Amino acid sequence: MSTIFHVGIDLGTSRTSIATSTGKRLTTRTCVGYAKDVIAQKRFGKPFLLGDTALDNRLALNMVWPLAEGVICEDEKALEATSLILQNIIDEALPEKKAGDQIYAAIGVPAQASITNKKAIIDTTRSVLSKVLIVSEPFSVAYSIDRFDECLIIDIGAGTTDLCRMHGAMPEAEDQTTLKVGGNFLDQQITQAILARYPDVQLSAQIIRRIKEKYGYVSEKSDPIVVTLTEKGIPKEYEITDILRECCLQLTDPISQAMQQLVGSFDPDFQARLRQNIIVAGGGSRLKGIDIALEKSLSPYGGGEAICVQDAEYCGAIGALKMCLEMPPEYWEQL
Amino acid sequence: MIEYGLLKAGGGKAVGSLLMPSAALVIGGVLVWQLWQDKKAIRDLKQTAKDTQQLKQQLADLQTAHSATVAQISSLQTGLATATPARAISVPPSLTTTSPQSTSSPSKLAMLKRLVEDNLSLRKNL
Ligand SMILES: Nc1ncnc2c1ncn2[C@@H]1O[C@H](COP(=O)(O)OP(=O)(O)OP(=O)(O)O)[C@@H](O)[C@H]1O
Ligand SMILES: [Mg+2]
Repeated sequence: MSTIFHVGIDLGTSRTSIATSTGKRLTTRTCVGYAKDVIAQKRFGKPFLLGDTALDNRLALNMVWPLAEGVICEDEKALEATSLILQNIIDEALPEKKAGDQIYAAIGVPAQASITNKKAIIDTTRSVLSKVLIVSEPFSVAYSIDRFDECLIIDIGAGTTDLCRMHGAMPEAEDQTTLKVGGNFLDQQITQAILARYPDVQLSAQIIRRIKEKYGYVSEKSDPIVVTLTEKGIPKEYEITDILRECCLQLTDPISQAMQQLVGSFDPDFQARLRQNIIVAGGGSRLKGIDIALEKSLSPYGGGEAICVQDAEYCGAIGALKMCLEMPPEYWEQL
Repeated sequence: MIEYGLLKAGGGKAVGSLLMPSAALVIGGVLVWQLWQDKKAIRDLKQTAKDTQQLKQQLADLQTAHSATVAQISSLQTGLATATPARAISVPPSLTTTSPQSTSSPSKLAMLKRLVEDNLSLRKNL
């Protein structure tokens, strides 16, 4: 007898995560590295590597981040890479799948993904998935925590930040805003600011990301932040307390503004409820003090309450899986 | 030095034999040339030793810098595990059930129906 597996996938700019009906959870970086030459190909025994393994060997590879702009870059290579990533994470998450078994999937994509983009995802997964449902990422976050009544989901990702107003029904276009700022933008800001203050310091994308993830903050105060960096290979200590806060504020300021705009344009009877239910998700929700900073920015409007999701890494995938499991079979049949 | 001694010995012999002055001249020339060659080889050897020493120092410097960076990265990583927000909303336990269970909530059904419709119109455009 053939089995039906259900999976929820969060296809993000920097990470792709999956949650399955068999209870598995997996996450990988959304990238593919193609061998630069024959020697590299020989060394790896295949023409490409995926995710973290690719990142670890990136010097011998041409890296493709197919969702770098928050949506699948519309070229052949990016489409192929997306399909490789999805196929691979599904295979890894469902090792028990036999020929003839079926997979029903919900795939969360950035809220602003174009129709062409969504179609491309359906197309590239046709060979692996029996049924595919494309959902907008903030909606799957809402689904994961069962919050469909008045609330505002703010998903701070790597490529973009999605804001989505929930009011008991499927969110419409006017309920959603996508900002082209996220973790990657913050990385750029931090790099520029450190180099402006300490021109000779040696920085890499990995180092910046780790500094941000460990020390990034938007609270009023912080203990002095001193990091060890190198100059011509010689390690030295550098003070970056103010630099870091100023950079982080450049990310949270536009988010506050977009939030105020979505609250301010909502039905006045329900604005207060919206303000009291701000839910912050995505990797950026880990920024220290972000909930308080967003609340503060709402004080001219009468104050608000913001809360971060606990399982930022998987809540999109979990929401998508939950949708799959709760969807009546007759709905699936239509697809 | 040995080369010098050889030259001296060879030279003495040549002076002793007045019958073959040109041969002595050739031998002398060869010996001087050899001496010069050997001196050059020694100079080169000394330079190579110096270069090797310098390279060793550079390697040691690089190793120090490398271990500093590794230490720096791992110190940053230990901080990551602890970085969870103080106030957080968690995914409800109902989600631990992983078998399909169609929802009976009318509002959820309405949203899922709408979602399917959106996906169908997406396919129509294919
Ligand atoms: N503790 C932290 N502090 C600040 N930023 C963090 C932290 N942890 C992760 N991030 C950042 O969050 C981003 C990744 O978030 P997430 O996994 O939600 O992105 P994504 O879903 O792949 O991207 P997108 O939603 O834009 O498609 C990265 O830029 C990462 O550096
Ligand atoms: Mg995301």
